[in-house]
Amino acid sequence: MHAVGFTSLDNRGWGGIEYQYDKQLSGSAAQDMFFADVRRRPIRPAPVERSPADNNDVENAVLTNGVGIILTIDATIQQFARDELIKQYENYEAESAVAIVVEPKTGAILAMVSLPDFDPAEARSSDPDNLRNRILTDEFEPGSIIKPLVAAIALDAGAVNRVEKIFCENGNYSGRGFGRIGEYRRGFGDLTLREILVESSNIGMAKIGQRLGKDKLYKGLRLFGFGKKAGIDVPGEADGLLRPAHKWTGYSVTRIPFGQEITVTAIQLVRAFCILANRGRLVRPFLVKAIVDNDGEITELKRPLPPVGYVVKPEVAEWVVSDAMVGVVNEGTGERAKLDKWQVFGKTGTANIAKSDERGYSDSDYVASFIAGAPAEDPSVVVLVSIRKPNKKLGKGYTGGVVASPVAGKIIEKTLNYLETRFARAHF
Amino acid sequence: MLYKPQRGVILDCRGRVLAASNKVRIVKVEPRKVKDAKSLSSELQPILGIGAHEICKLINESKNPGSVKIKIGAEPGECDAARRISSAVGVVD
Repeated sequence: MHAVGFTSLDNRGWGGIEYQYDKQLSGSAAQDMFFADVRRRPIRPAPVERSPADNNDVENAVLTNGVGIILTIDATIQQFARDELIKQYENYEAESAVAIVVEPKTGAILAMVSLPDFDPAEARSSDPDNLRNRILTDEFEPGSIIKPLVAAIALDAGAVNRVEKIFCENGNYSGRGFGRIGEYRRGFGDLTLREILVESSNIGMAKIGQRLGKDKLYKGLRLFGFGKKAGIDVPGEADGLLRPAHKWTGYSVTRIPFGQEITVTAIQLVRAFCILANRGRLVRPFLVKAIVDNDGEITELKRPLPPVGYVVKPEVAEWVVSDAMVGVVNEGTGERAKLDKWQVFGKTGTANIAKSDERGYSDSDYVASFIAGAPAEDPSVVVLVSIRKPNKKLGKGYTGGVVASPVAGKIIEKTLNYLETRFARAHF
Repeated sequence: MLYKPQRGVILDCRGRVLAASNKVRIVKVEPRKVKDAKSLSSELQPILGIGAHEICKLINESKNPGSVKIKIGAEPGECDAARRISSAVGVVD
């Protein structure tokens, strides 16, 4: 598992928690010192002299085994998530895939899967590419999945309201300084903000970006955590790319609202949606729950950050989650994540991958993503599934709604059923 | 004498073990003590299940005359049998 990491032959942590907490996990060795004769034969034990100045040496005299580390990961949920993701990853012959399950109120990470992965016992002989925790390291253009966040920023700033209709130019919007913008499938006329999100209109979002203006859009996205590390307690996190507002062109303010000209990591995305699901309150994802000594006593309890502020107003966050994003699942592109027992909220994203050798985007390579959570009225989990380069030639589809949303739906269903049973047992 | 500490375990939120340390036995050869690399390799081949040619190459091409790893993750029986062949063969836990 990438979150745990692995160790080298000489027992040093090489990745994940094994690396981050290597010193604590390693403990410290001890040495017996002897006076020896000229042939190096021990005569008698040498006394250990300790003085305050020798603090560092004293620990060499006492054997201290490594501490235990308790993670927020639940092995059962981790297994659900991996099983569901690997099926789709193989079924669509994808290049890579990630899934992450987070408790939005605390930021506790319940599962973290990055494929292709590796056998920890064979880590040293694995393809180095597979050792990478793509949830933290890989940046991608998020595409439409970012729309609910921009909508929340715009609503919060008063740039739009819930009842007005925005003309979506029947699918063809162009102008000086921002080029031409089209829709993914078909054009639209007048749409409300909710309809823009349910139909995933690019033109609607571009117009919202123009109304909001670059400074407010930039500040809002920074508050949601883009362009900087999410601050998770394992190494290797990338910053993502959100250029400062003064470097934006006319294209930026119309493209960023539908997820182009910005790159994000999976951990940043899931964090931003945890903030939204947490009624706008800041959340930071974390992996280490507690540290225990050799007697099993907790020596350090890692508590989630106390809530320090709101990114958007609670009523704005609540509306986006429990109305607009519920609409995406009940009436829009996220229908395959719909569950009988739980009301799911979500947003699909199908982002073109930029060509590596020339300008523009590839017509065959996509990142299919789905962010979701449930129950919508009081979210207890947020799940992100992102599948890179599903094979379009298979003819089975390649969009976030087709490839990623069924996986997220199944992970949510299994997780909530499991947590419900666990909770019921705990209170029996 | 050096006492090595046991590495700590990593547990999930319900106390289930996600990562724990296992002992790995390594069969090593001390090249400077080897008089006939070819015959030593032939003797080690059936015990360790590694080709004699491969073992011979490791011994002859080792840059460290004091130690060359021949097999990582050897079974206890393999270690005992290998050790009995020559004083040039050692085992590290």
